[in-house]
Amino acid sequence: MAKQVQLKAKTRTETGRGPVKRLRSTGVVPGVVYGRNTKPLSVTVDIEELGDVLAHAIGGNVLVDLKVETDGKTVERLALIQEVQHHPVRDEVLHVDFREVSATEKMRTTVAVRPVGEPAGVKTGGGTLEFVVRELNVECLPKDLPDVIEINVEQLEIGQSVNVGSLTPPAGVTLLDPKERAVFTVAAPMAEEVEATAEAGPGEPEVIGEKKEEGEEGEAAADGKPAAPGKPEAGKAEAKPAAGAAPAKGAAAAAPAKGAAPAAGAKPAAAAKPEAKKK
Amino acid sequence: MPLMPMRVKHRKQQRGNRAGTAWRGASVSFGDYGLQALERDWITATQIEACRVTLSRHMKRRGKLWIRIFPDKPISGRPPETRMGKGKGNVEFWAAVVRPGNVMFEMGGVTEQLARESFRLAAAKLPIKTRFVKRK
Repeated sequence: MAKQVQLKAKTRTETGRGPVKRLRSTGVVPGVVYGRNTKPLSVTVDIEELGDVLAHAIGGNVLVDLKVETDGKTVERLALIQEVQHHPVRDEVLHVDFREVSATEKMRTTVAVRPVGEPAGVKTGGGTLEFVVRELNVECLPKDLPDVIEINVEQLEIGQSVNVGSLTPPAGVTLLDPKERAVFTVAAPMAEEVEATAEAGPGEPEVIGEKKEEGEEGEAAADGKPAAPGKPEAGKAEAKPAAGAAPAKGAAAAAPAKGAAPAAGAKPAAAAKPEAKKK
Repeated sequence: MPLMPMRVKHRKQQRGNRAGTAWRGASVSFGDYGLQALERDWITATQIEACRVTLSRHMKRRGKLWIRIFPDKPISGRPPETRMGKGKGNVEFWAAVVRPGNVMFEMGGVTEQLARESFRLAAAKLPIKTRFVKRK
């Protein structure tokens, strides 16, 4: 069953990015307590106490006896740690959500699944045990909430799977997922690695909504004839044959020599800007 | 053939913004272990492919590999010894924008030791600092 731990919290009035940032620098974590019958309450908890609770949590579910201090009075609330937000790089806890639950009312939550044993398909067939789902939806009283649901997978051969229907939930727990939903499956080993083909240059993806003028533009580029001025750049379809084709006579003449002043012949090429563009 | 989109709306893009931290795609979501970026950069399709080859060779057909970044950004460049102007250059390569925190590769169904070693080898193919992360 999920461990029930005690945690002290204080109500807070500071909300918003700046004030909460200042709070964090004092060694507390902002959080919120909410439930079906109560108004959401902004709280702070000590970062070390919370870290200790989270470090000793086996599954994702931690039931806490939250002692919320408000104006010198302490109120006890039974809550489930619903979500913990971490900083993506520094990994520190940024915020914690407590979901208030009733000790006498059934609640719905998710419980992590854990495979027990090594599947036969992995041991002998070289397959891989795959998680189809990592958590199962359950309904139970808080006192019956399991840390994890352990599932024996030793009998699984390659291609076989364990479904929700074949599981025996712990006492007092009802599984809410459809019975046919697979939980674990043993997949065949990965196919032989296909080596990447010769390192071709960047190919060209299709441009959505672009008209294909391949034939017309391709011919123009191959002949080295300047395209009509003001014509939009043909782009991919056009650039490809132009790039691949040997430089045509006209194109070579149009390209200005390095450092040289543009030749007189370059003028029409300038008009045909897209065509004359040097690759 | 390197990774690239099959269809795009525009052939070329501006450089865009890669500031900030990755808030999405920053946790191990598919496998058990991951390789997380600690710096920001454009990771090219070639680099991703190099990592994939390294990882799958070291895994020796065991386990499963997920590549969580995709090079959907065309990066254009100017050919050498070309004067300025004459429009935007040609697309030279495709890249994925990676920010600190992005989990780029994930692995499942293998031991932690194998995953660590595989990611160590793959990280050598990347231009950024990375770290090994586990599912929380």
